[in-house]
Amino acid sequence: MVKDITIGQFFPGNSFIHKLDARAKILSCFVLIIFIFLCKNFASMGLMCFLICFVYALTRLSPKLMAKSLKPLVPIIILTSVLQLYYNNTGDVLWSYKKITITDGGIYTAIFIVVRIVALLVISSVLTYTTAPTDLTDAIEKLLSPLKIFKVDIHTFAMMMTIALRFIPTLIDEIDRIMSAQKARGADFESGNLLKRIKALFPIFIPLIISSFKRAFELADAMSCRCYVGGKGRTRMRKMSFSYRDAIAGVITVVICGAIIFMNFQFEALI
Amino acid sequence: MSVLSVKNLEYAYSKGTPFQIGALKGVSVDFNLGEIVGVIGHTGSGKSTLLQHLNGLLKPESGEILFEDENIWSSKESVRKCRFGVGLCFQYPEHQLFESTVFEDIAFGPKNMGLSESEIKERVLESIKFVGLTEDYLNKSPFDLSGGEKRRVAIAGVISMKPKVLVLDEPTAGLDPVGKNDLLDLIKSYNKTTNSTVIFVSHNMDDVALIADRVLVLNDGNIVMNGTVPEVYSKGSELLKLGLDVPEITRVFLKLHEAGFDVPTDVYTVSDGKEKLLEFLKRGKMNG
Ligand SMILES: Nc1ncnc2c1ncn2[C@@H]1O[C@H](COP(=O)(O)OP(=O)(O)OP(=O)(O)O)[C@@H](O)[C@H]1O
Ligand SMILES: [Mg+2]
Repeated sequence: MVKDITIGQFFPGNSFIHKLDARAKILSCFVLIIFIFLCKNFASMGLMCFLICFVYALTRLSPKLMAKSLKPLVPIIILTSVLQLYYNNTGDVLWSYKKITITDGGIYTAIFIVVRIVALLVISSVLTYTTAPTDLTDAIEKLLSPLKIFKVDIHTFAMMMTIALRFIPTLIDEIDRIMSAQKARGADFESGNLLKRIKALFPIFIPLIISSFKRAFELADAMSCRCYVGGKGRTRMRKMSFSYRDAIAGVITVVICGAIIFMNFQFEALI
Repeated sequence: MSVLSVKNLEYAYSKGTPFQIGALKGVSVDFNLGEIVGVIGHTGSGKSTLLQHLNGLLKPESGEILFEDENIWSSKESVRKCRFGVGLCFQYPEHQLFESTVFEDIAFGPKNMGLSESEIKERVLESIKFVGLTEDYLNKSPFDLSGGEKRRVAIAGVISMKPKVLVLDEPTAGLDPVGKNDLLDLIKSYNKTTNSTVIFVSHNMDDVALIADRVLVLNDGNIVMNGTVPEVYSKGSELLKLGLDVPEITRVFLKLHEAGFDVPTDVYTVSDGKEKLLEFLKRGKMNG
């Protein structure tokens, strides 16, 4: 089951979204994430969801892939929204029993929280699913390069981000491997009460941390063996270039964001 | 009598993603009590995938696995029973070791079986001796061992559960010739002393000829041959087509036969070869 989490993985392809320049993708993704939080009513949220579904469809990746990746996170999402239902007491009271009061404000917030988390996960997955890790670093580095005047080491920062992203699937594989090794010798992760199951997870994390350190040292060695000394004096093999596709993506992003602002003014804000 | 049988097993990796790979496409096979079965097939033919189904690490998409005539996925107890009854040694020993000391690692299985402290200790000592390591290793970290030592510890960790079926994925890979022969002897003696079934994967045709009673040949997720060593190895040209080969000693005899010498071509082990060759020479002397 842990293997189903595909966050951070790259699925090569040939779609419109795959061909977009990584900088354009990061920027649009960033803007859309901000606007996910600015959607205040069903009209604007609906428009946002439509756009996200449309973008996902453009990647030509199977919807099952996304669904599978979201599945392990369902309990967390539900928990967050139930907490909202309980704690948020704005608006008209619909139902109340002892200390629990459910208000329409609470319901709206709960719904919006679910939609927002899912939208966030989908849009950020679209970015990592369709962008090769190397392109992602190059793009982050380019986009942050103005910060160089403040003497920030952008290259190292971008490299760290990529390595972190790159290693999410590796860590998931590692967890799977350790669980298999323990299962093969009779460890039981499936039965028993919650406490027992959580306890069975501890023996996984210690070997995981040990092997992560080992891996980090090996990676550092491998990088120095290929003469990696940080960003100074490094040149690029490939130049990134914007194309008409990026212009189309930019225009669509701007238009949708404009429409969301318009709808926020036009209709009553629910949260 | 069959202890473990596989019926119409199908499995695909990364189902539902663009990377989907059909690894097993309808495999059926029976494993009998007390026999040694060698599994061969080229890289990526599905050997490891098949082995991981045998103790319930992977769950079949369709088809079933019966351990002592009970479907291992029929209940939680049956899966557990199968995990202890069928001991699996992974292809890469590093993938199997996780505890902080060799002792803890070997003791992991017996602990899960719920054995008493003293019995666990006894089994650990017995297993480490069985695989030919001294007790000095027990306090080392399994990650500080050499590849061959890791392999031995990994095997000790499995046989400490005294499984009825011992499943080994490429146990001889990366060992020196002496270490390899030791390990093959060890497998054979485990099979003899406990009357257990042993199933092992190997890329080395000579190893299979040396200890296996039966050979399974996998190709692209299907079993294409299943028979005794002479039955399978006599089909040299078919094996070549599958990216495999016959043992070196067999090739020597085939070449001799081609060159006009009257030697048998069904020779699969070096010791057998030596006898046949001596026989041939003796005959030559009598005639000439
Ligand atoms: N964890 C995995 N995820 C995705 N695909 C896999 C995984 N493990 C194996 N495969 C694929 O399944 C197929 C069968 O693999 P398997 O490991 O069973 O081969 P094998 O016969 O053991 O090969 P080898 O001799 O190299 O060990 C291969 O095509 C392989 O690429
Ligand atoms: Mg294998």
